Amino acid sequence: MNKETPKKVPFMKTPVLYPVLFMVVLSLFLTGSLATLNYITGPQIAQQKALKEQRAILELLQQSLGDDLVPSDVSKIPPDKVQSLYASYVEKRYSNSIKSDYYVGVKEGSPIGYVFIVNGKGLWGTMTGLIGIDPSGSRLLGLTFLNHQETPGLGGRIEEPWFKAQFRGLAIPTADGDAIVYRTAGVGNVDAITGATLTSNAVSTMYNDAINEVKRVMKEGLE
Amino acid sequence: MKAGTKKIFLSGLWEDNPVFRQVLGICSSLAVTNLMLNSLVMGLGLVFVTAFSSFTISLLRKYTPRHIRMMVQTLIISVFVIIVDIFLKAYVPTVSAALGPYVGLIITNCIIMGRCEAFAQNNPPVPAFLDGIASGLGYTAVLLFIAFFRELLGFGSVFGIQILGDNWVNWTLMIMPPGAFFMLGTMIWITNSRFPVKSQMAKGGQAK
Repeated sequence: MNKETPKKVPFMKTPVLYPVLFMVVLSLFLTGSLATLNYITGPQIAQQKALKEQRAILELLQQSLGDDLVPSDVSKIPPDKVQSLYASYVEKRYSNSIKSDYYVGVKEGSPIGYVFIVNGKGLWGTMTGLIGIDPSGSRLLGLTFLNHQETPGLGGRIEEPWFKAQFRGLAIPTADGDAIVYRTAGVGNVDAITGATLTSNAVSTMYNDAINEVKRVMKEGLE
Repeated sequence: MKAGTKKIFLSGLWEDNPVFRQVLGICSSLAVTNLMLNSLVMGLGLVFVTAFSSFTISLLRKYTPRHIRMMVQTLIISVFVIIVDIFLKAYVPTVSAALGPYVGLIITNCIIMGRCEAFAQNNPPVPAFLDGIASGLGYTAVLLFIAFFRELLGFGSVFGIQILGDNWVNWTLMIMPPGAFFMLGTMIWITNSRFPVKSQMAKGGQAK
């Protein structure tokens, strides 16, 4: 048998070696660049997240603090002012009974409101928000959303001012029962969002559960 | 070069428009067009990703083995989409929150892969970059056109500015998926029957 000398395959046409090497090098380069970008923008993103949270807390405490201390349209306050207002009037504490952080609005040494973090299941993913309770535990200061994945334009409308404003001053029932009830046939205290029933229900379930938890904790003590 | 550029843009915006001629990128055309602002940002994000992905893939085209080229394209496209996502989260968080999951979905938009396969693989980097921009702009124009009607009829507003008064009863159907299908279908029908391009006429398409 005449053994042919094997034809020399150019490196770039090798069936396995070159493609694998190409992918490895390309992947390393690209993921390295992304990791670097992520690292560089990390602090900026964390700062945006913290700012959003501080702004939301101030929004809930604004009416109790008063228009002279905090402007009524919290969304228009510039970032550095948000930070200084937050530093002056909000304290972050840890509660062992609910096993999480919570926030206290403090004016002239005494608490004017409590803000708790609320988590729940939305239609498309986890929803995170804040709920404000007045110091006596009998009324809601309001509620707001930090994170959700609801449909933009439909469920996403829960972030609109008119929807959130409905919950300001809502009474917390002393007996058992839901604090938030959507209006149907004359009964109820707030309006749901037209065309976003599931999201609206997710919101009411989440916050009603949170309110019941808060009721229990305010009675037993936050420490 | 000028004639080439003009041809690229004419093709991307009208003759070979990715949405109503090639019927690509339909999922996002249906999903984000309920609001004009979402459509605009989505469109701009897509222009960026398509242009830079095409550019990069074109740069690598002589070194990329044929049988793994799709893996390479997907890898490069996803890198640019993540760059857009990080950029929005860091510097324009309100828009990032409004677009949320849709930014990640840009990776799945067939327009980008379509242009990379059809154009970037076989053309030099700068024309590929321009082709990416042209296809992206063609997509954005279609999105804005559909969103204009959906937002106006469904919310009574344009870019968030209320146009129709309180007497207008919102056509909620327009901002839900069926409304999207109706608008998109109508648009594809009108553009292809009223304004067919040469390739469609040669195939025996109805030309009025």
